Amino acid sequence: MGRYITQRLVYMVITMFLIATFTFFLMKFLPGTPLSSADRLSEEQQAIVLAKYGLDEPIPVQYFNYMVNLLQGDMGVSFQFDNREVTTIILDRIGPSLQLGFQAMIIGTILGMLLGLISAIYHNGVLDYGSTFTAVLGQSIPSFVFAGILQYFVGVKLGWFPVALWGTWQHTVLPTIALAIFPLAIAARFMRTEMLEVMGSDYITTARAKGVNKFGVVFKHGVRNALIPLITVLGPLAIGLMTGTLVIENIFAVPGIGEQFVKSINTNDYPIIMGTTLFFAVFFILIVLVIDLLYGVIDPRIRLAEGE
Amino acid sequence: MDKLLEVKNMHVSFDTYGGEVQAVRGVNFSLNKGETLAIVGESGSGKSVTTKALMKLIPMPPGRIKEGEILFEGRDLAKLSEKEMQKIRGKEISMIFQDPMTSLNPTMKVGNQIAEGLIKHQKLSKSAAKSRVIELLELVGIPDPENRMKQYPHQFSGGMRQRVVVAIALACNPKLLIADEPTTALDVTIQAQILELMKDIQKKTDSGTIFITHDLGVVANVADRVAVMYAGRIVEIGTVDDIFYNPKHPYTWGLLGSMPSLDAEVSELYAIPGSPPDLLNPPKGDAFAPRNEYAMQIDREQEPPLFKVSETHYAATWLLHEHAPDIDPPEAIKKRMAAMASSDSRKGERV
Amino acid sequence: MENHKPNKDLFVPVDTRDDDSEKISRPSLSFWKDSFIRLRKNTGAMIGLGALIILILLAVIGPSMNEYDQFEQDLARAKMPPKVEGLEWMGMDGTLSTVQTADSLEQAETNALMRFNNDEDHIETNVLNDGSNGEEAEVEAVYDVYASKDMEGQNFWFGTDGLGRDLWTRAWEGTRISLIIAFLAAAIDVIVGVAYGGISAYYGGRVDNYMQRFIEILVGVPNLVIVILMILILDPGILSIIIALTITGWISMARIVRGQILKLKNQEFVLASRTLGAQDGRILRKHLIPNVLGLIIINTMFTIPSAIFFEAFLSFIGLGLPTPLASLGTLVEDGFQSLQIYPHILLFPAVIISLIMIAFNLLADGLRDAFDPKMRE
Repeated sequence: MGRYITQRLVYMVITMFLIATFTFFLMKFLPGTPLSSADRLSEEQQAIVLAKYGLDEPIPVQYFNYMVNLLQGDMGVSFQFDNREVTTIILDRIGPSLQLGFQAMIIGTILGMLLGLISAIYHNGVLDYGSTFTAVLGQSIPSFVFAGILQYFVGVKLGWFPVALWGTWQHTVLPTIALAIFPLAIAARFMRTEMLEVMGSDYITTARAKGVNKFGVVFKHGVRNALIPLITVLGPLAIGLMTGTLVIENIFAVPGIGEQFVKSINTNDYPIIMGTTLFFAVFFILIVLVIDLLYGVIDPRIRLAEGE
Repeated sequence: MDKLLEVKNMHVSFDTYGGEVQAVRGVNFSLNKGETLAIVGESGSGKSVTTKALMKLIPMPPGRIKEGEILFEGRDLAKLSEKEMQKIRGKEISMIFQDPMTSLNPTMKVGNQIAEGLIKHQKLSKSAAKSRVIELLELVGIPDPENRMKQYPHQFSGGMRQRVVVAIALACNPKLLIADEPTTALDVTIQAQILELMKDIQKKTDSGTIFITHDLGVVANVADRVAVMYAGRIVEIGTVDDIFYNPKHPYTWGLLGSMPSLDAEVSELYAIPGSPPDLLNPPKGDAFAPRNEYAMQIDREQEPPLFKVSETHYAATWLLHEHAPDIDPPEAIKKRMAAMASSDSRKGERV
Repeated sequence: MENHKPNKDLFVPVDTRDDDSEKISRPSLSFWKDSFIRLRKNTGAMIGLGALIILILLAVIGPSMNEYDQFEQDLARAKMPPKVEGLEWMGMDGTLSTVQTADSLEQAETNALMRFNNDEDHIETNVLNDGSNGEEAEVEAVYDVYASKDMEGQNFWFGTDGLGRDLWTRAWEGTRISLIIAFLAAAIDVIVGVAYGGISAYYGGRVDNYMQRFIEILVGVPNLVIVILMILILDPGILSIIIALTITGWISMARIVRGQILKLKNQEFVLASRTLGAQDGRILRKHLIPNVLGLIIINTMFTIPSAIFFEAFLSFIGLGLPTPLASLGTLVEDGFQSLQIYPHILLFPAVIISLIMIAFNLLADGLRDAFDPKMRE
């Protein structure tokens, strides 16, 4: 296990280093510097501005400085909001994004698992067809379409929840639902397949042969074994949610990272774009790592085989 | 002797998209207390389905017990509800499965898997169950039971796992033990150990045993009586001596002839030509007829009834009918039959 | 038993040699035939296939089915509601309606009229609740937009957008572009992925090792990040979107192909074939390709809808196609701008993109079931 973690960490560091390097050189090649909006400055003034952002140094030195700064959590200063640090901006906006993501993840996976479980227990029955159909719709229809439907019907027509903005828990309802539908559908389909496979396995027959009742067979023997592989989809789901928040936050005008990111793209605020991208990358890599470790903790086969 | 189990005219079918698969087509047999009955036959002959149906462990649907009675101590299991069956499974009747690699729950500690039945049926407390689990693990020959019971199945070797499976089956002292090819998936040396274990346990307990196998060598070793199944029916049933030294059915001849023997006077093994029929459309007449070199016209038209060879020995082949021509069984079989001194009349009475 | 006294004549031996003891009682079907039959039995997949055919046909011929051009702007006819002759009952009658509530009936009526600029000639008001029972008064106003603009001879089937462009034409043009992007991206994924995975698995050893390490590093990079960075470098357009989608998209295909070939390479039937002297080409043709092809097709079927989704997603975050080009993504994004008053602008592209996604997913599920050897009985 220890060796495995070390190996994973090494890969993680290489990947991050590559992404950071790539990001840095990208910034160098992109049109648009702090000067692009101020090209009427005199040469001296330009030099002052360049020096202020450290852009007068040779590229290798800039690269070195950038990396050192990154290690200290300093991702530069926004072009747009004068002198505001990218790190501060991200930290200011992380709250709503995390809240939406967590709510959607928890609601989506738990409801999805229940739906999949019902499907598997009533295999080939009406409930199964109903929930499978729901899952196909949830998996196929893009979250922004759901967002539109919710906004128009639940928000505008029925007026049950606020259509946009942020503040009370009511504001989180519609964006959470719009985000939760995809993980719900995926969890439901995955749970159904896994559960059906588990229920067909020999050890379930062994359990039944012991006289265990249906409830015990399903929950004591079935669900636990079906849940283990479900962990593998949690990573991709979390990453999907990251993609989802970019869109959903914009539709519902939620002041999160995603909304800021899109704004920055439209205003060519490269330090924020790059900083947020790096942040996403770190987040992504950490999620994958955590899921991997979680898998090891939950499955006794992996936990013990590698502990020995 | 007391009859523990009596199966009368049991039919089991599976409804598939292609139609009704008649896996078991009218099986009759009985089992006395403390007796071991072996059921032999090739893959797909319905032996596993027969025993799974006894415990109602076949998936229903698509499977169903179409007709017949399963009298266990006089109660008809075929008529019991799932709830009532749950009280019988594991307590009165229990089962040992074929593949120890897949028949244990990978995420549950071995001790808990054994204790589960105890807690359910005998309402034992946790500590009482624990000491019983240790006792059982010792019984099936697992060293260091106190630590082993806290481990997961993947920490056991195949043979050890099969011992655990046996322990699970024995937990509540069942009156009937069904072993579904318990040695097939194991290495030869381990096979012998598990067989020894099972014989040992038979001696210690008084339970009746049904032993499914396609290995005739195993049969001679453990069984009192043997039933030969083909295409969902029992084609011959009798004591071990009846079947091994005085077989009457051409299919039994084929099975015995295909068994390698160490006294290698007959060096050539016999192979039964062809493959078993498709039970989606069972053939008219004797299902074995297309593969039977002694087949007669009547085999094509009518299913043979069971003919009585002796008090203990019955076979379903028209060759036992009074009109049938005298047929010489294959050489190897004749040698066996010669060895059997107590030969009865060649022609049987009808039952 | 009914056969009590069987006829003595029947007890004659028959020759079994000439008959069918070796007969295999099931018809033999090739892998593809069998899969195809099972696919055809899958209702969901067939519905998906049918829907896809219709949608693709519409994407091809839809834009030329009326006289409007996708770029033809005319602010005089901006945001016209959809109108289809014969489908008035579905609400496609070219009207807008509103329900206004107020304390008094008069106030409600005034509000309702104000909502459509007091163009009273073309507004029909309808009192839903006159407020006499103490509740608020409710007035519904229905505004015939086409009549008010003197365009009664014209029909915009899906209505028009904020610049007066015909949405029917733009929706199908957009579908076409989205599909082209998705198909091309999927095709490139297949080519690169199969080649990479195939080479890696075929050569094995050190080559495989290096190629796999490379993939492992790439997999660590979130594709969202790569796509965004790529789009930032490249000029926005169809080509850059395709490049951005494929730059990491091929990885999953490469892994699947490699895994499958490695598995097959050592399987008994391949060894048996090799032992019998089969050439590499034959093994490749008869054993490897047929067994990998199913997986490739299934994976591609899942790639296409995800490419369509990603294209729409890029439009949403402002990295999509430049104006005035239409794709389903840009149309949906556009629709959100005026969702509250003119929901039809969002409705049609949203429905089309949802239908495409559902159709592809249904078909892909069906294919997966059909090709899955575990499903074979």
